[in-house]
Amino acid sequence: MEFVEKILDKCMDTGADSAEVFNLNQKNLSLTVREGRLETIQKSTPGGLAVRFFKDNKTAFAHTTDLSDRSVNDMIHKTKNMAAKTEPDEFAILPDPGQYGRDLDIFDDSRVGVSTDEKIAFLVNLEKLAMDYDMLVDKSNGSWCSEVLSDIELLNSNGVKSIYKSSYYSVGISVIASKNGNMFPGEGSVNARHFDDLPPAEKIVDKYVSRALRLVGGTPVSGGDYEIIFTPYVPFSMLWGLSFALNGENALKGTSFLAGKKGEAFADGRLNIYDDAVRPRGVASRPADHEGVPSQNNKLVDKGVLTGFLYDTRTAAKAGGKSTGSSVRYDYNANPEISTSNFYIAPGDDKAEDVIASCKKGIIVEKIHGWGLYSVNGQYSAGINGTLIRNGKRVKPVANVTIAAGPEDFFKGIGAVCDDIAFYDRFSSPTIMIKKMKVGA
Amino acid sequence: MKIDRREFLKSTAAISAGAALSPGILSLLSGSGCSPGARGDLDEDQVAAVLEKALSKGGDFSEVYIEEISSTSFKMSEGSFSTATVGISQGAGVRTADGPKNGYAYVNGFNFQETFDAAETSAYISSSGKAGGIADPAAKSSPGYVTVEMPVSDVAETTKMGLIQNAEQAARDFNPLVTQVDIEYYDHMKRRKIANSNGLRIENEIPLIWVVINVLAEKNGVRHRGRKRLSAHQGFEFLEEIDLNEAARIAAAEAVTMLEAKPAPSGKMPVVLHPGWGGVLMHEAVGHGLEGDAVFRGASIFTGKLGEKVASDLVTLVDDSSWPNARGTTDFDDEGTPGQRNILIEKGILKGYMHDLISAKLLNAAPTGNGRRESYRHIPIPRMTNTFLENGAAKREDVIADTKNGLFVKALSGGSVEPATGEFNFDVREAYLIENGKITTPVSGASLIGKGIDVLTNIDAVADDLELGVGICGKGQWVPVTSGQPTVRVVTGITVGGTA
Repeated sequence: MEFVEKILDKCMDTGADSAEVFNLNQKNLSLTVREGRLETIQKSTPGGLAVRFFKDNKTAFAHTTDLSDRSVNDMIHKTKNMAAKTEPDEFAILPDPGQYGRDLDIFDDSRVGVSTDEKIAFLVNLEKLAMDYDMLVDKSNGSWCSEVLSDIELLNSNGVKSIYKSSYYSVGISVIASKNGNMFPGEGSVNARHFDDLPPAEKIVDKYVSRALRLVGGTPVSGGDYEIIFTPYVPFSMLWGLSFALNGENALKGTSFLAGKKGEAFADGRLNIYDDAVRPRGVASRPADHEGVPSQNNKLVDKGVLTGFLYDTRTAAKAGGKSTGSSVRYDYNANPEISTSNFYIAPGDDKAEDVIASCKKGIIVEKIHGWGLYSVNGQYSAGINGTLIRNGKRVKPVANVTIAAGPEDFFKGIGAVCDDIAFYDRFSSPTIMIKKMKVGA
Repeated sequence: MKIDRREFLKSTAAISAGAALSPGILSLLSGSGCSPGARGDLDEDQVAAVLEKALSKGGDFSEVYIEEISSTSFKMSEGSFSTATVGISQGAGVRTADGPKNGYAYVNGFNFQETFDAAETSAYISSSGKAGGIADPAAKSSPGYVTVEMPVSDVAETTKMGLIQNAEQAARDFNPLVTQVDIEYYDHMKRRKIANSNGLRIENEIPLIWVVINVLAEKNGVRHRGRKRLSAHQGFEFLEEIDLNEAARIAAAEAVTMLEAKPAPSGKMPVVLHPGWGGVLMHEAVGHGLEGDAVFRGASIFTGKLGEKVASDLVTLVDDSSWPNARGTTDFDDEGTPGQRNILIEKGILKGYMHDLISAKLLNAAPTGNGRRESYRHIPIPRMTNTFLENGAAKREDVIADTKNGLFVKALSGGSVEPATGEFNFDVREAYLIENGKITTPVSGASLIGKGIDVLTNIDAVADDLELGVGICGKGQWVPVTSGQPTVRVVTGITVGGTA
């Protein structure tokens, strides 16, 4: 804290009109077990220091891992010189202090006291459960875990002080199921702020290895129009593209297919989308964003109607609105930019099994290859693995086909939103059904 | 645009004078860039102590990797340079390798005690008590695959910005339908020092330049984006030798042309790929399955197939980390193995895999110089460098004229592969129908899928116009690569996923 204040003072002494200092300190342990033995142990103290320097409406960003006085002094001078070479930007401003809300319960250091041997034993057991799950599981790429404890200190010359600790636990498994010479990976990971919020090893194995058994040996189906049922395994396929389309900067620049559509019903009324940075214990929850703007829950799509975009301080000023607390740094050395937090499609009332039972000709999609939705024009196209449905019955695993749709067919064609959401990642979604997509085979 | 050399010298002189006022580790603009020794990293005695500590519980070998990167970047957006970034990253990673096992720990900065403690952590991986010996240090000189005439650190920001500004204007002037031009510029100088218990000692400096041009065009509510990327491990002369303005016009042309695109077709059809970054298809569909770690785990469909015919006779696939100044070139890989040209597939026969030290040992092969890492924060693993399909004898025009109907893919944005199944996918950015041997209508909204092995066996035409395309490859960690190929036709085996 003192250290960060000192650097902020130095920036102001060097002639800044305003300045911001971001200091990240992390402790990281990651372990990989394969074939019953520890294969990798990694221990580290990531992090570093970043400064934004503002003078005459011009700004520059600097980052360093060298925290010696001389080096930091030098960095500040360099940043000042770089700022002078940029062009004035009237919207380049820092936020004022805000009120940080309730404790989000995002820090758990209870694993610090657990021995490395015990953590290895957990992974050995996880891998064994996966290998023993079924006769078809015959190879292992290993089980792994990582623990990151983070300390963030953010200060700016307007008086913003955002200081908090957080933790992040991940556990993953990767095995391979083989059937008649075909292989399919049984892999995936779960994440949580508290270690105890992670599902037990049996559940992780059941979730990801069972999928491989369902999908191994898939073959194409004939091309044409199909009903497509996206499972919660593939929230990424829609939300990744939407996270860029709902980015306020992309909306201003016109690089989003949703630009200029605020207030429009672009999707079926079943669709509700939130970006919620204040979800208690949420994997991407934080008391403030990475400029120090207090976090909030942003409703972006309400009953199919676009209600708003995500903004940081600069873009909000430009758009004439307020920051939504959506400024994110991927690491200490990355410029803050607009991004999502806990980004999800809200669950609906439909039951996945009912949707499948009433499907005449469709595919349950459990794995996606590719980005899916393209944020610039709203077109959807991806390769998939899944299960063919005929008259409500699961027929066979499907592989080597593509699914595609334009934005109208895709968003207005949502025919069901189910109730089966789980929050183990930054993107989450329940089962979603799209009435008609083109299958290429 | 060519830059007058005298202009360079003038700006260099001015900046050096400025830098003298603020000496120190962040002197990005000073002539020296990175000068070994001045940074206070570990000396030979300290390195030796760390290597010994890392082997104290056993292991085949230990390694210290010291890295320092000084970077500059800026972005031109909406006609203005609204911010710029300078950065310094320095640290040391210590590794203990024991069979397939790795113990790894890293520290920020260069502090002997912290690095020594890191060695204690990395040593945890072994409990064999049997350690490889510590050999006498022997320095290796650089093979010189990366050359620098004009260090990026000697060039004034205003000069770099001037080039970007001209390119931005060139994109805007291309067509009034161009509505947005974003250009990102990044350069760095990376200094590496690698030492291992087998006596290896390497010091190496390698620069990188990376420019990404994104152009948006818009007409009647239809939007499309065009992109061009340029990169090399080279001095600033790289940007003198290429035509940045022309690159900007190519990106603009893609955006504008694709405004007229019809929905892409769907189904299996012959696909002709444009030279250059289209090679990413080979990178994803085949290359990842030839990386030593996937091979020794049996997680690749190419495991155990050395000497077997896996591709059409027309296919010779190479990974060459010694290609002068290319974005995937290494000089040395990040374990100290010199860059080299590795033939992976020769006339359809599988000849070799790509290895780091560990996979080479486990598969009883020689290291191939493919042990790479994103930074000192990562363990080296087998990775591609410059991966390309070698030239054939056909002519581009003939390949297209011989294709009755199909898809001509000019630009792919990128893709991924599942090594276990060889199934790949790509998102197409710019593509056209081929009708009766002629390139006709632009089509959008397609992805390509298939299996690597099907593509390899179904390549039925390879032209003589090889180009490398630049990109970035992620496999838990990111490294710069190129992918390349001449004009290639895949007669069947690729499914096009459009809506028409």
